[in-house]
Amino acid sequence: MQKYWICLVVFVLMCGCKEPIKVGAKTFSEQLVLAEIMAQLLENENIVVKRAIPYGNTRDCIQGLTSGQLDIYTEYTGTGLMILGEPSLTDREKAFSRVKEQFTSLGVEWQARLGFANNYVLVMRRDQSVSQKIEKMADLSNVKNLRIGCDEDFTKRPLDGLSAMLRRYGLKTTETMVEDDKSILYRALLDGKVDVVVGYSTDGHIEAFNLKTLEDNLHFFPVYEAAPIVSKKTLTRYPQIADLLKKLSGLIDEKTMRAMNRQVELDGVHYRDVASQFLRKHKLIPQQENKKNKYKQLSFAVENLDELSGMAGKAQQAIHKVFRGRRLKLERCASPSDLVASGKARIALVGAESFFDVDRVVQNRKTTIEAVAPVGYKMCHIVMRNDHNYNSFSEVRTIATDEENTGSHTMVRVLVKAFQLQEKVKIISGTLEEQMKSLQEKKVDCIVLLVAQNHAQLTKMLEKHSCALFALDEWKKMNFQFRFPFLRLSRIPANTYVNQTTPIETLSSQVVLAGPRNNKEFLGDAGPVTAMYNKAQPLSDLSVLKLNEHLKNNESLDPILPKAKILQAQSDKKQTTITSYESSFANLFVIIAIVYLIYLFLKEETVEME
Amino acid sequence: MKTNRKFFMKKKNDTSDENNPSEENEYVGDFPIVFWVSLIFCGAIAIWGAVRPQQMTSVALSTTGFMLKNLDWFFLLMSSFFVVLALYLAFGKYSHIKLGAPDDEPEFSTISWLSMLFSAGMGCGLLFWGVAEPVFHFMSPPTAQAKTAEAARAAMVITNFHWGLHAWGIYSISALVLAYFGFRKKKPYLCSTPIKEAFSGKYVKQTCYATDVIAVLSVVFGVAGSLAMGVLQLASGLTTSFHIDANTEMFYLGILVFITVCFMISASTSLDKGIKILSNLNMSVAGFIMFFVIFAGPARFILEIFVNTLGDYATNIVRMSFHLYPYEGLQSWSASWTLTYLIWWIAWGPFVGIFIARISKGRTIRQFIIGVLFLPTLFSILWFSAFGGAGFFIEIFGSGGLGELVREDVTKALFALFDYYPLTLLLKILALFSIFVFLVTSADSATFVIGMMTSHGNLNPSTKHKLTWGFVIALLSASSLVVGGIEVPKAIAISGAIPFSIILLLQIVAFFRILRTEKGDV
Repeated sequence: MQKYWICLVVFVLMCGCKEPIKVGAKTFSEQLVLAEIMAQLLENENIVVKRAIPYGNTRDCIQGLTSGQLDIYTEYTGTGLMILGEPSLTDREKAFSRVKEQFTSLGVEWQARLGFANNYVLVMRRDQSVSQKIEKMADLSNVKNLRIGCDEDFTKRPLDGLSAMLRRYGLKTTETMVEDDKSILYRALLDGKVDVVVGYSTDGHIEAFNLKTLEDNLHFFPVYEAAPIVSKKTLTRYPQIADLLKKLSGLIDEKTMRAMNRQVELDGVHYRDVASQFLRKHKLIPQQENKKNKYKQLSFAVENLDELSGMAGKAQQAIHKVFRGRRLKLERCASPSDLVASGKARIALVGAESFFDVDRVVQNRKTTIEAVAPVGYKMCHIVMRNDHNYNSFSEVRTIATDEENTGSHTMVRVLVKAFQLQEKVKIISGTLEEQMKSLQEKKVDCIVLLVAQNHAQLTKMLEKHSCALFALDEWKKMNFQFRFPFLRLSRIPANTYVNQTTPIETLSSQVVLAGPRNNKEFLGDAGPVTAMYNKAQPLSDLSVLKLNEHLKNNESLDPILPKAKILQAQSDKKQTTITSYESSFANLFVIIAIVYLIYLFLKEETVEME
Repeated sequence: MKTNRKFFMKKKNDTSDENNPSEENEYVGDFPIVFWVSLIFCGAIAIWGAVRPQQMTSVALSTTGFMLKNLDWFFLLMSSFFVVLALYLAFGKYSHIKLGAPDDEPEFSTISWLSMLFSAGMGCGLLFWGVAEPVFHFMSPPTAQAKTAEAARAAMVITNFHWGLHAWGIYSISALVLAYFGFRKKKPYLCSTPIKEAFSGKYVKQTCYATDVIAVLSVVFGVAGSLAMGVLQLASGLTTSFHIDANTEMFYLGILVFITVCFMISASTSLDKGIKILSNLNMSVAGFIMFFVIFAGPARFILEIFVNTLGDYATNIVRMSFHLYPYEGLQSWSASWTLTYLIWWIAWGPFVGIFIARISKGRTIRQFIIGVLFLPTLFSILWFSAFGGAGFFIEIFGSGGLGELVREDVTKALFALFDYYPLTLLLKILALFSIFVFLVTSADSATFVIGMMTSHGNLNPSTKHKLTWGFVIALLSASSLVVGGIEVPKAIAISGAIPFSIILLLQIVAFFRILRTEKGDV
């Protein structure tokens, strides 16, 4: 009987309610967060919400709203005026009252403003802006072959879009990169593929990468204050919405929004989590965290010193795209490979050195993880004071480096072994600042770091303090290639760091994404038996291939590393000989058994049956 | 209760009446040789597994792996042969033969019979693999391109191939042989009975002992392994549903003790009280979950898949039954999936076979085969269409993310699917409940079956026997949970299945030698 009741309740729940509210968003992360905030706010009041996050560009969204495909989304005052073909306004209040008034005829109601303006800004790399002396947007006319990056929406705006802006400032571009994915856009800027990016003032990247925003000296861009807009029909259906949305009024200032964007775009937090975090902080939804989505989370482990502006960010974006529908969680730790091996993280950014146990002489390859995709490489940086007088690394007695188990620490152990300094040298671990302080105070002789070339924190340090990189010219004379096969002789190009006039001879190690490895292959690597191990299984072939596709670069996996199965070339597979005696014996035995059984069946009766 | 007592008495008389004098001394004593030998073997293997779990599993599994890779043709051919044999028995000249005396009536109603045999045969496995397996094949199919329509189609066929006619073919044959000798011939209810009855010679007695001991061991370890797995799944389910950290040893042992107490209580009651009620309850809960998954989810899509799969399965079954991958070099794929499943079903054969046989008294061979072979297969297809279909829908049309999750940890698959559904918590609680009851039921039926096997095939083994074996099973699961080697008991069970497959063939030969003395239809 109870069962029928449950059925009935379910039926009523599913069919008895009103049509859900459709919350929409444009295609960038700020919109996703805002839409999700509204959706969760409504859901908290037991309004059924259907998410169309993201829905489309500005034009799609406004059309959706007027045609009833959408009920609610966040729009910006400046954009609103542009849609109507109205002249732009730089005054916040005027713009809002104007847009509110004008939209009424379209059947759209502007709700209370959220508290921030998301203006267009032109963003440049700081070094470039200094070298080319660009402060204002007008200065851009000095740049030869200007390359601009922007999103698709910007190219399609008639009055405050790309072509209007170029005309107003009298600019010429040789190349326009149109890309909706912010992280790709900013990456292109950092890589020097474009000179200027049209970003939003609330972009998290600007702060994170210390980028230069150019002043809009001709006041071309109007003010874009954000506010939820709702269609009138929806308001008659759900009159309580207006009051609900008022709760958000003025709650999100520019700083808050930038922080939230940064979380989504750079720290890899899912926009849903960012939204609920915000609502919980302002006590708009219950404090109790809804853990139901916990296990759709995907943990990605990186080393403490890995930078999101570098390989970690690049890898993170690829993972984000490949593992659609999962929440990416960035785990910082000393040893990402251990986190994967223990099952706490699904995937890790590791250097080739973490596949080896450097303290063991033979059989030192670890089998708990496997490389799935190459990302880049790390260089060994040996930093010494400018006034040092060491001719050889073997004269060093104290070395500062990162925590134990990190790549840098491993690198130090390798050097110590190679130069036979085991008894003589002291290794001191600490943060980058502590290391630098110790170096300046002459407490240590050098710092050894295995980090990416152009590591931002290191670059800054080298600029601030009087120290320089030490070249490891001796390595190539030593016979260690076999002992430490993951290290490659490399050079840091001249002018990579401040005052570095010559290339620096050193060692490098490949950086790859690694996943768990299945080393119990008794019955193959899949199938029902794997459930018995209670351990994470390797990444699927499909994900491995997709990761490689998204990370497409000139690197290919170091052959020394244990690779995911799908990446192993045909030639890696063992050739089998034509005869296998055990197999033949087992087969022969079974065939004899079958023949004997048939004989038993055919044989005359020997037992008396009752 | 009354009928049961009477039945018990009658059976006791039967055994003493019908055994010829030379055999009589073998069938006396509460604890025969088989009991002690099995117990000693269990102890020895358990100690090895506890001290050197790694070595033990690697020996057991690499032997099995070798066999499956090198004798793949034999295992596949044998399983397909069982299906053909079952079809022959159901529609051939012996189909009218009743398992029991001509005037025997079935002991259980058809519905209860079906739900009991289904609970024993598949149990937790269906909940465990319902989402996981189709989605897994969809993500990494052996031959097709991943995540395409073709992959989805292939995934459903492969999954149902593993869980359909071939699985139930193995069960139905091993059950039928025993039921025939037990009820029709009124012989003791042991795996060795057919061999003893049909052959005579020097080594028959030894073979019979070996048969019985292997059968007991494979049931004990198979069930102990499932119990340990089930405990882990319950713990992970509790963790995700109630936000507590249940993945600790204390929790494992707590759950295990609770399950043990429950199945001991159930075991100390009679068959039609304990197992029957539990099985009926469980099938209703599982049925309700399936109903919910279909109708609160993409109902049209799932029903389309059901119909589609029926056709695909019917047209592909012959090809699949003989499909190995000699040219593609995919031996390790078929060894790790298809053959592992087949060997898995054979490993469960003694247990499920004896259990199904025990509850099938009074049915004709045709009724038996239809009930054990066709209806469960049909139900499995519907089940996998529902759970796998919901998973496909999420991957193809929905937000995605389930496929990689399944790859990451199959135990999470079912609970992860529920997250996409309304009333998540209710579903999770029902699923946990269902897993729990399935575990209790299998442990209960296992103790029942081992009790029978170690007391001369007594149809209603004494509570003393059942509780002893229940305790042994619980102890084995507990130690494998504490040592952290839940693969140990499973590895033993699977390894035991390889010699048992030869025994199964021997049983069939014996069965047909006796059967051909019966009068056929034509």
